[in-house]
Amino acid sequence: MKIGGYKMKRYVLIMLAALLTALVANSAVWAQPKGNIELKAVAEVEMEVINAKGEKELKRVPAARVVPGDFVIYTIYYANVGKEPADKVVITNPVPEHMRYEDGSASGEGTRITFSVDEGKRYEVPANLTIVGADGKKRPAKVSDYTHIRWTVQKSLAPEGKGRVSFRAQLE
Amino acid sequence: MKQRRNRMKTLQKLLMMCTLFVGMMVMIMPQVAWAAGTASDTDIMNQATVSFDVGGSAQTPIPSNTTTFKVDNKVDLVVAEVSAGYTDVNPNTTNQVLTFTVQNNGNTTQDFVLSAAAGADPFGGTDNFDASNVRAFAESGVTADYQAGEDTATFIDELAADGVATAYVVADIPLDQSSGDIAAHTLTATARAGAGTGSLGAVLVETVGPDTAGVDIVFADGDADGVGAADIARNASYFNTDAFRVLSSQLTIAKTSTLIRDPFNLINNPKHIPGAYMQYVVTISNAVGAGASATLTAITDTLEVTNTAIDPDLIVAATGNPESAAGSGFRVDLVGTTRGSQGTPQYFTTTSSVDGVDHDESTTGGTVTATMAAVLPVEVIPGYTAGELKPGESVTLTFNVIIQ
Repeated sequence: MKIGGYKMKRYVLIMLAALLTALVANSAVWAQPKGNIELKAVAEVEMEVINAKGEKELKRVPAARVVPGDFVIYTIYYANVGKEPADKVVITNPVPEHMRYEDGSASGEGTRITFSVDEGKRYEVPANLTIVGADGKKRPAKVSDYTHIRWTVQKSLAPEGKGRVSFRAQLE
Repeated sequence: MKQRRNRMKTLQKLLMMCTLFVGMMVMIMPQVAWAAGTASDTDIMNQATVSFDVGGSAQTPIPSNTTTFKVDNKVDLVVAEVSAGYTDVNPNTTNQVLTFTVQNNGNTTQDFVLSAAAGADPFGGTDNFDASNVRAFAESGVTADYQAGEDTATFIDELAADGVATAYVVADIPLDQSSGDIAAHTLTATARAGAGTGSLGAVLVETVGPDTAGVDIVFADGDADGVGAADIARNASYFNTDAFRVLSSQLTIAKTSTLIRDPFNLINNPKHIPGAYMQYVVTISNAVGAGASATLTAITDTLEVTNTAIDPDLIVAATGNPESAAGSGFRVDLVGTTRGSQGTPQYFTTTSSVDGVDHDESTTGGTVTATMAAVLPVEVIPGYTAGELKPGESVTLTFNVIIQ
């Protein structure tokens, strides 16, 4: 029974997810805030299909049939739809509840990728991430400890500039 | 500013208390273990946020749309054999039990219908017979281990994700099986829809084609036999095999008769003449290599009606005097046992009493009856049941008749 550390964070995550759900529900009523950047999230799974040549290949399809153990690929598309350049563009994605981030799967061209193990309070590259274990001692964080992923776009995003970032996670 | 910080702290405290409460609730509630995974019908949502500056000033962060998918029903199970070896049985016994476990490795509460069939010996021997009256039952949970009166359900009811239930193959062993015979039987469990307590749910059909908005069914079970056609992967079924091995006693009975004395030649080449003594020795042995003890109930021997009479004294051939006390016409010897009477003859009267070995007191002929529960009584230490003759043991009954 762990009160501190990872388990505790899960409960915080549950709370946050509940808050987020409330926000999402509200956003249907209130117009989504308009801004210079449009953000679109997509969840997909890879499905093995037989192509025209009779070979097996992996095809990405929207994540719909998912059972525990399956991997889901999340892609977030961003685009500057404003008239001015956007600076300090930072995309943040919590690791979804019941999902476990897959080590090394986060990618995003021209971005610096950092992770949080404390619900987004502090972001670090994996090597610098630590967590306080049940015994009160600090230890290097495991990927299962990750709560948030953050992509910091390195350059200014010009009008009509766009890009995408992604990560994979496994359904627990 | 300070006020705001204080409010934040209060909020943080509240959040902590809430999370603690939720945490405690989660701990109190049945464990949601990770092995089976996230429960079906759970919505998995994701939303990203972007923050940015325009012209040097921070803008309101913008959320993305929320992606949502529903966790589908992963049907997965494993059947395991419990004893990791043969289950030893005796011939001519009913309701013999092979024990298995069925584990729900899926993410949904399901029923599991049970069936039994003949199988191949999983322990390296050769299956050479089938038990009869083979049935499969689920443990009711009332009393541990198989109880004929209680464990009557033929399906495991409402087994939660990650749950493990006990199930039995129950069968009868025919009379004519001998030691070393092997009967292997399989227990197959097939997942069915959970249909509420007490009723067997519908057959599960894997969702084919495009995903539906509801909870789809995905079979994820393994192939129980790896290669054979008895089970295939992803069919919502799994089986395992256990085997009965027959252990039986191997009894032999021998009766010898020896002319030991006549009134004239005494022990020197005695002849079959009236007044001559004939010694009968009845020996019952359980073979050294027998698989089980025998439980002896009675030895009866009918004497020749007209020409013989029981010798009430079991005389010694050389002297003509009683071997033991006068009237003790029966002697019992035990060989190869750890019973207390090992190596010490026991004597019983020829009168119709209840001492263990009796003659019906006919003047001629008559019947000798040895009641084995009395001759071979219960011995808690070193551990004998009434009438028990263990492998390698023999019991001998000796008495004389007088030729008329």
